[in-house]
Amino acid sequence: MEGDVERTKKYDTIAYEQSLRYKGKIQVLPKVPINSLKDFSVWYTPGVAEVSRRIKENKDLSFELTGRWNSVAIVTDGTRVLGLGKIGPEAAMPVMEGKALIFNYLGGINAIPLTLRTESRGEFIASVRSLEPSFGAFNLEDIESPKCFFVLEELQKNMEVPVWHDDQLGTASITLAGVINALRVVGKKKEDVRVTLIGSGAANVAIANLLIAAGFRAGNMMLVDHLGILEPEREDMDKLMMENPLKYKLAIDTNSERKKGDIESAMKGSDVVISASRSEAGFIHKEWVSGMNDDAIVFALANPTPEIWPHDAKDAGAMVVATGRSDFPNQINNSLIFPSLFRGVLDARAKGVNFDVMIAASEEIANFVSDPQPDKIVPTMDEWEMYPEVAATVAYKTAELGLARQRKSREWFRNNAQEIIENNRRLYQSILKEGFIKKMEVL
Amino acid sequence: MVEGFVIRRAKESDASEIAKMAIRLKKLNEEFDTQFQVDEESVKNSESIMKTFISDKDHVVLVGEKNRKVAGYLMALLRDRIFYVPKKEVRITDLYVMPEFRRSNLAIKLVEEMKKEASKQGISLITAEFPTLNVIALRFYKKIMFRETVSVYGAELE
Repeated sequence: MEGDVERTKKYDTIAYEQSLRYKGKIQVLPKVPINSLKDFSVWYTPGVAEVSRRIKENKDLSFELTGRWNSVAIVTDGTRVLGLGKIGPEAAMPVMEGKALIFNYLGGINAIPLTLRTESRGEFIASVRSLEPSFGAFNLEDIESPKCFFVLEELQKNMEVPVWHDDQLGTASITLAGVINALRVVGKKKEDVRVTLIGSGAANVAIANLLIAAGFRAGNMMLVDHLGILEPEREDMDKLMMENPLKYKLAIDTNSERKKGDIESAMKGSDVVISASRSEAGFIHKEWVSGMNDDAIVFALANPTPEIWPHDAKDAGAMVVATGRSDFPNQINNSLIFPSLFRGVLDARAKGVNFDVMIAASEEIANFVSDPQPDKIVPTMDEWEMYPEVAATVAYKTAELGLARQRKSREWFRNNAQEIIENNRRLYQSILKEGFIKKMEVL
Repeated sequence: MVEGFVIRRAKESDASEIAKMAIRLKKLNEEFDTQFQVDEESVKNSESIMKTFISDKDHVVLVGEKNRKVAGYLMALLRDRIFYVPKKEVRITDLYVMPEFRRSNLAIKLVEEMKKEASKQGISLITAEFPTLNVIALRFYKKIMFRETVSVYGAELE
């Protein structure tokens, strides 16, 4: 569609010009009173030494006596940035800054973008681990597959704070939320539905695993990639075993009928299709949707162009269609999950995050939509009240699972999250109002 | 769980399935070391190659079968040790289990059956060869208490 191309070009131009003007998207501001230079005797030397001594005695006090409790590192090696590919750490910075902006705006979180010049997996892992004392949680971003699987697993295993890879876990959580409500709309049960996942990169591998953890039957699921339906007799299985063990395991656990073939044959008889593959309208043919079961659910998540336009999918018989775009109903967007997920784990001073926490978050998001409809299966980003609710659920679940350093009631967590997010937003609005941030009048 | 698997000598009719697995095994070796680049011509002839091994008196080919489906195979060569005692050994050259049947101890069962077969023939030494960089094979044989006995070094010539 020419309109989309033109619109994208317009945004490209504005983004470049405004980046030249604003020179970065975030900055560090003091949060303690400084009325005279004497105050530095409290905030810095000599007074600060006592704070350090106390933390030395009990490292967990770093969450109470410093800003660690609200600090997240956004870490990338720049190996798979957006649709741009391996563009390197310097070029990845604008994207990470943008992420930091969303973290702050929607979650009230101080997120620091860190783009690393690392080559090997080991070097990346060692670098992230060395940063652990400074942050309450880590968000890995835009790392090539299958490296992303290894580094996430290794870091989650070895760190005492939550480590999240948004391309995997964020996408999986919000997709699960959407699927839960889509099934409510069509009146089908997760135990019964046949799910086809088109594409088996980081997102769909994580989605498949999360769906299984949430009670969908692995045998009823099929993943398809450029070589066809994933199944144990495929010739690339040994390579997968070495290079991509999660995908290898899915090849064995899913597709119990051991079906072989292409996307069309995988979709035939499916109830749900989740595509995270090629940004090309028409990549999924209308006839393939027609071959699905009645009241089909189609998630075409490629950005910026979905694999099938929503109206085409509906023409072909789909009841519920979701995409990654904000200009269509049912936008499946990570920004609906990661700000509140992180708000929750930070508020619980969590030691980790797992599928149980993610499922709880997904259910909370799904439940936030009081009356799911074909065109309303997930909240939109401007439904602010959702974020404290999801944060509270995450924090409470984390505590329930024994992963939290701080245990409080769900209500306490909700009020706390709401206060942090609202205060942060008011602070930002006042800076904006005072004119310290110049208006951008091009949109 | 080795239950449900039948281990038996390979028949000529198994050659096609064994050939497919043999190519998978060789391609896996290729992944580890380019010195083991698979010759595509041999891929085409793999079935007849396997038939030859199955009928050869110096080779033993065993298959593990489940519900009439060949799930894995082991091929070994009976070798003379002219200057050493024992005078004969059985050398495992191929061992492969299809992905779906892994983690079921079928590979161990195949080696155990091979040991029994060797004993029947009065052979008391069993060895296995595989590319040095094939860490999966290395881990497996160490796990079943094989130890390093021979080293073969290689270098490409200009």
